Amino acid sequence: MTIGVYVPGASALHRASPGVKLIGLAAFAVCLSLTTNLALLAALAVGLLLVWGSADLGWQRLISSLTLLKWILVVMFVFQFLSGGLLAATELMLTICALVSAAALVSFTTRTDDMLETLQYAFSAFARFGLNPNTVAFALVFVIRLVPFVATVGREAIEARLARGGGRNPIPALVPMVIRLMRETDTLSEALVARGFARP
Amino acid sequence: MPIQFENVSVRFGEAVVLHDISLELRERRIGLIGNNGSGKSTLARLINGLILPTAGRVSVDDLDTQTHAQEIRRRVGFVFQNADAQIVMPTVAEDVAFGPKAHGLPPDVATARGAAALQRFGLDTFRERACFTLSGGEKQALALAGVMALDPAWIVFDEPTTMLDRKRAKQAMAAINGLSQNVIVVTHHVELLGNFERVIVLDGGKVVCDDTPAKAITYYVENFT
Repeated sequence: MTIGVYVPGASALHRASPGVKLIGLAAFAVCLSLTTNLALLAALAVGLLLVWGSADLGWQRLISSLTLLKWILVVMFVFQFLSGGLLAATELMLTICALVSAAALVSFTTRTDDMLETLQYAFSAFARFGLNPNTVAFALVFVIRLVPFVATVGREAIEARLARGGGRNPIPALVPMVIRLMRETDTLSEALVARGFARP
Repeated sequence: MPIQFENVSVRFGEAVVLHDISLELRERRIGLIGNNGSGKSTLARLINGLILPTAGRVSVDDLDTQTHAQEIRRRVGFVFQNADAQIVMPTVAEDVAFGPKAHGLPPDVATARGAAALQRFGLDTFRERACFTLSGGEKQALALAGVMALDPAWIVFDEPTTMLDRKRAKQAMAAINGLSQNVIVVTHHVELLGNFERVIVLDGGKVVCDDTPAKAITYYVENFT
């Protein structure tokens, strides 16, 4: 399972410029957020599946990307179901799944370096306001590196709880997971500096 | 030019981690040993400018770490104990080129340097692989390749063998010994430093022995184990 990491390929989406893909993703997100009609949402989702199929990524990657969110989805579904009913909960699930899948589609078909370059260019307009485009772009791209890392830490926290006789409930594992993530993040930031990523 | 510590002290809050250290490091193979909390990792981090001294001066090629940290990091590579923590990009090719790019080399030069480093460590077939899918040994090789892509004059290894079994630890030390760079190794595995030129023993933030491996290791074993 290689969540979020570029998958080499020669599809039209792979060849498209990162800027076009990011704009497409933003437009798709806007459409999703403005649509409250279930049929329209389903149509957008089907359209996304067709694009996914054309990118030759395999369906397992899509399933893995969504599986990662299963607990969040369950909590949100229950909350929305209780407050707004089945239709609202279904719409919310469809919106989130479509958005996450679209983001995964872009990251699977775009090299991180290309994404970084595009974001640096996009944020360069804000340099006059004191924003460092390199730092902001890198922070966004670095999230992709952190996805498997966070997943591993989360799995190990749950395993550690299981090994000590606890259940599979992930909630009590959150505290040790967050503590470890903070410690590991310190080490990662030290490594970034050591490798030449200058302190702002 | 050597690495110089001139009356260097480091405090973290009230705790004095290093106290008035003066050293000149110019040998090609130097070991730093000491028990946990002795200050050896702090000493190693001072060289790369990851930690700045509270008092005194640390310099590499006469460049002060307080004012020339970025330039010094180009000359002094740092390999962390946990290779996972050193990998900062999602794929192997991107990660190995990260350092050269961060130091401002043109993208094509950085990529070429990265490719050469991958080839040297037998990782060229993994270029498009996600880093987190590599084995522990491959991650270590990638971490070293990432440092080598900058072609530093010095490489500091912070406990490179701690997470390895004895066989892999020996292999790692053989790889380190084969490097053309000057090397400083922080380790608990004193038996791996036998063929080094100099070994420094730290205790309580002070240098308590600075000698040939035979003498320094004997001193360490007799007094701290």
